[in-house]
Amino acid sequence: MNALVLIPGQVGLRYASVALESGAVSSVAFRGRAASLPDLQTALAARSSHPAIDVVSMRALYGGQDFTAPAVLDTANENRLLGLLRQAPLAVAQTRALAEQARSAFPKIPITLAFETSFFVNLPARETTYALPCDSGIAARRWGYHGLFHEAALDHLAAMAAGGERPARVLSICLDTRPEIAAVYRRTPLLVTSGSTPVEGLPGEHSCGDIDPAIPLALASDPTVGPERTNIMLTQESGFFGLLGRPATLAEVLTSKRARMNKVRELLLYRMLLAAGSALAALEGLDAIVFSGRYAQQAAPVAEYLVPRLEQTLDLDPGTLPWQICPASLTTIVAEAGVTALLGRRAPEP
Amino acid sequence: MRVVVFNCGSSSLKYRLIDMPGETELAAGEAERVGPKTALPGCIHHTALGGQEDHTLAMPDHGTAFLAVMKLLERDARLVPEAIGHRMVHGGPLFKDHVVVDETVFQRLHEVQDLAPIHNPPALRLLGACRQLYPNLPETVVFDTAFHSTIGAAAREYALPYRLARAHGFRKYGFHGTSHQYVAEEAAKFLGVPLGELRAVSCHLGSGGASLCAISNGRSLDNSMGYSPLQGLVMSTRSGDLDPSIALSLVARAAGDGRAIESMLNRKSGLLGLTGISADIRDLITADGASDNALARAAQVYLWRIRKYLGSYLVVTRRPHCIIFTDTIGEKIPAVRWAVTAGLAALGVAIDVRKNAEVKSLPADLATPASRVRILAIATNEEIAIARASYNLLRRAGRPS
Repeated sequence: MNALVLIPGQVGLRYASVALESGAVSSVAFRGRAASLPDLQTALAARSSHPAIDVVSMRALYGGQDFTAPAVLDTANENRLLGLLRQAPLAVAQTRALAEQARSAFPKIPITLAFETSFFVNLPARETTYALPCDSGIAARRWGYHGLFHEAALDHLAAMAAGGERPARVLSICLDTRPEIAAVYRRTPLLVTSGSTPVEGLPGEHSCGDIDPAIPLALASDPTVGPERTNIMLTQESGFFGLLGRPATLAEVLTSKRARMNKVRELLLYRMLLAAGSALAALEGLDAIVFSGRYAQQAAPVAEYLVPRLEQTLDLDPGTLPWQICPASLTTIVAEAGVTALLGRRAPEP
Repeated sequence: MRVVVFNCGSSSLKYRLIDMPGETELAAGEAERVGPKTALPGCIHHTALGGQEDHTLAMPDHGTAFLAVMKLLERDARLVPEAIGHRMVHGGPLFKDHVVVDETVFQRLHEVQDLAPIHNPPALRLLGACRQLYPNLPETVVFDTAFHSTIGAAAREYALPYRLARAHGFRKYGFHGTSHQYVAEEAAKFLGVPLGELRAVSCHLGSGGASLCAISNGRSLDNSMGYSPLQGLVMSTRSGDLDPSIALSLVARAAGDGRAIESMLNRKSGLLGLTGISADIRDLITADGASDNALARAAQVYLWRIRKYLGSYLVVTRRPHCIIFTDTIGEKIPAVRWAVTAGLAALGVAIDVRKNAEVKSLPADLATPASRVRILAIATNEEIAIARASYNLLRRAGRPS
């Protein structure tokens, strides 16, 4: 079975053609980046040959309470998606627009959606609730926005246990453009750093992460700034970009030897340490750490910083707290999720 | 040296006269209904040398209230103040330590007024009145933010555009520093640990504001409050941590009125916002969760946020000597202490259920004998802390009597 994977982003569309056998990825035929789906169609048409597509698997950022697992985009699910528009206008509109284009481009091929929020549907109320007045008109709750990576990371840990005892209390660290940490107990998330949007939490390549709520209020009230400009500042001009005054990837922040980068790295690692400490309190201990995400292979500096400090807190001997890297890419995760949805199989339960 | 400590609220003036360095309280009281005329007249509740009296009078401003308090004290030669210590909430970037007031300091204090618009302006007006009416009395200002001036860059900075943060002074300042410092000093004495070596997590849980502080070598490493007191824990009427996007959505719904939203997040959110009926955790923690899910959920949200910060700071302080609970809720509500520390044996924290439930006097150690981290309940005393700081400042300046 061949899946065409579509991963929409802030700047364009990542795509890949993935071959799967028995629901698992066997090879990636090609991958690339396009400005939009019509551009992708043009690119596909220009290829002399490419495998026949059996399913279009899309990554969707937000699925609300309705989507607890990957889903086939049928009429019922389309209506459910429409119902979520008010909750997350930008994310849902992006998903719907891309789905519409995909249906138009591939009218006879089933389309599936893999939601980043599904993993966090059952996050406890004590974690999801903001202390706002009941009549504030805001029905926001906390979500995580890297649920696909976290689930893949847990699958990886389960696979690595290979019949042995699987770690129950897991610190899952997704190293991506907007990094995210989740505390997970037996595949149930108890805590996550992101908030009602991915802006809250750890600082990212362009987003500010946790800040005092008085700061956006001060900026939005400033007549020289205003709410819209504030939003742009916090989501596009902050994070590593804001601190450095130039774009920098998470990988660069974690590995660069430049002095200016040290300050940014220290800030990020400190924030990660705070989140890891919260996770220890939530989980009442810790059995394993797993890294995932686009920059998972750059996890070593994070592990070197976090692991000794967590071991010290937990009274563990140095080097005894296990940590692993999940090598799965978002492309393969979304491809597998699409096939799971299509064939009606749930993700393998550890 | 008799130091009168003033803690200035928007419509009140609390005071204590403390004999230093013995830290003996000689007099105390509170002037209520200071400011514009209200339905009831202003009143000073005054306690001195074992006697208690109430004085009804109009106090249209803090200067009038101050003068009335001074007259009450000056009736007895044993109560005549020799120095004044003022509490000021926010010292901003200009004041990293407490100061003896002179003309230069007085002028510079005006520059940090707006950082705490509810608390700083009345304190500054009081300071002005004191300087005018008692120009020869030495005065100090003790800042809540000063203890946190040791917070390092990684904890202090926000990941905002560098120039924007600099231009607006967006950084973590931290609050409740006077209380955190005081209980850290008391904890060091209680445990027999030199203050300069003390590692602790201090939980200042007031009936209004609340914050946690990570302390290492007797100094503040981090505080859950930030640029303003709004960040951090869920409080009685403050929201605490919030997604920046929510703050902006609220501003959009209020047609750009950021001040209205700031007021809502400071005065109508937190426990009050969640329950709609009570801003006090004491009303919720005893509520029957089965009969009222909203109250039980509010209590859980409040406790969970404390627990998360506690976990963070237990790691940051690297095997702390103790967790300290202080202020109204921290000192008096065993259920809160239990809920936020239970099940943390893996982190070296084990609370003794019986000791926690039966605290008879403070300070008290509530941990089991096996607990690596001691769990202390210590009564805070910000006035003593201010008197200490004032006395030490004036002694260094060569001005004790």
